[in-house]
Amino acid sequence: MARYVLAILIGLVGAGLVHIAIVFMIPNVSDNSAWSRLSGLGDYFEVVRIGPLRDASVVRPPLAEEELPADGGLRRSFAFSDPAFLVASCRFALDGGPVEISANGTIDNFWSASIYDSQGDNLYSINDRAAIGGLVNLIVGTPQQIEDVRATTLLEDSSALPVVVDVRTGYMTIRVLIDEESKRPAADAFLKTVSCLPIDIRPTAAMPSEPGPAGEARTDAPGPAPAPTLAG
Amino acid sequence: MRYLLAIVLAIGIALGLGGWSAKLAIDGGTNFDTVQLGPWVASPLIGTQDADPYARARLAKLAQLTLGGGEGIMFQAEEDDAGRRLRLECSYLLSGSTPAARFFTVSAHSDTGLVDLPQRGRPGWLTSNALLRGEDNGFTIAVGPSARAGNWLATDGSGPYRLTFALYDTPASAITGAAGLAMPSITRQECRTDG
Repeated sequence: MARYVLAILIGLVGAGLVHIAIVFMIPNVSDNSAWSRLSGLGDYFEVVRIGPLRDASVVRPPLAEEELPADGGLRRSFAFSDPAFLVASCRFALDGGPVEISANGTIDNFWSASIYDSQGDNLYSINDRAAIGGLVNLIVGTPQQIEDVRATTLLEDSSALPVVVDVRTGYMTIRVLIDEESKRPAADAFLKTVSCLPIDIRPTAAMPSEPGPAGEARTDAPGPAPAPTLAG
Repeated sequence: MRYLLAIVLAIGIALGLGGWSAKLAIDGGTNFDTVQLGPWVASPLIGTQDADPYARARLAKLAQLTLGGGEGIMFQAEEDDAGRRLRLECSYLLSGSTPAARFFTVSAHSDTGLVDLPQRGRPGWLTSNALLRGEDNGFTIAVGPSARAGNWLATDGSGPYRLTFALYDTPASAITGAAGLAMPSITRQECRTDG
């Protein structure tokens, strides 16, 4: 009898450990986290459109021309999304250098941008009033990479905002408000200009006219970064 | 043999009870760090590195893109002022004012995060930029399946749901439990009984 009492006690202690282990493990293994779902939508540095999660079981006529394509409708959907917004997103990796997130021109609608780490924690957010000149232009990098960026002329006479994050990978979102249906085409066109690309900050190319292709920038990564040698 | 039975019992309790209680705690919503204003609840810490482990686990299961501090804050209500669960069959009246914000949006979601969009041509969400207001800058929003004059948020279907009230570009993003902020009241009106 005592043996079973002991077994139950051990079981209860084990249950506590299992409980804690599961709770802490889920953010890393969930295949339904925002990161996992974005991974299914596009590769790194690919700008994808995401939308609100809709009830697929209820057949309704489409609400407007913006309707999501029939294929990836559900995969593009995120829980508790605000239906009043158009949202674009991209995943990025900082191994190939800092990442520049920008869009062409300005838009009258409210917009906001967020940077998340791969676990979904919001690291940085900004809206149109806080941005310089209302422009979407963020340079995201590790502390070391932002130091390197400051050594170049990228931040001079520019609306670019440096964003220091302490992660290797992450994702960003840009949301544009559609407060009137007539503003949808402009917001849609604006989001189509969003780019999300690694930039080349080698000293020899201090002022790159245009960011090189992602592959080229990433092949530079294994080489020693210029700043540590200067510091050493 | 008797030892084997005891070991199986211990492992069974550990895995079964541990897994079940973890699922219950994550799905059921252990609400640490929430701010409650009447029926409205917000979690300012959700989606930040300061969030509690249960909130982090729930977020990872939901695929929710949380609003950052520079974007806004999302309040949700599951009950009306009298503490009754919000249901799609019923009509509600939201009235009052909000904390200072550049604008806000009102929409309806299911408990699993599906946005509740009504039939074509009906307003499935409202933004404050297009809201009719009273002389005191307050507003009244009718929520329900039947059309109303003034501000109307259409709902459709049946079953429980929750109202989502998102404030954007607002100092309320940094609120704590002690903040004396006001949110609109939710008053239930008639309910359809065509079941």
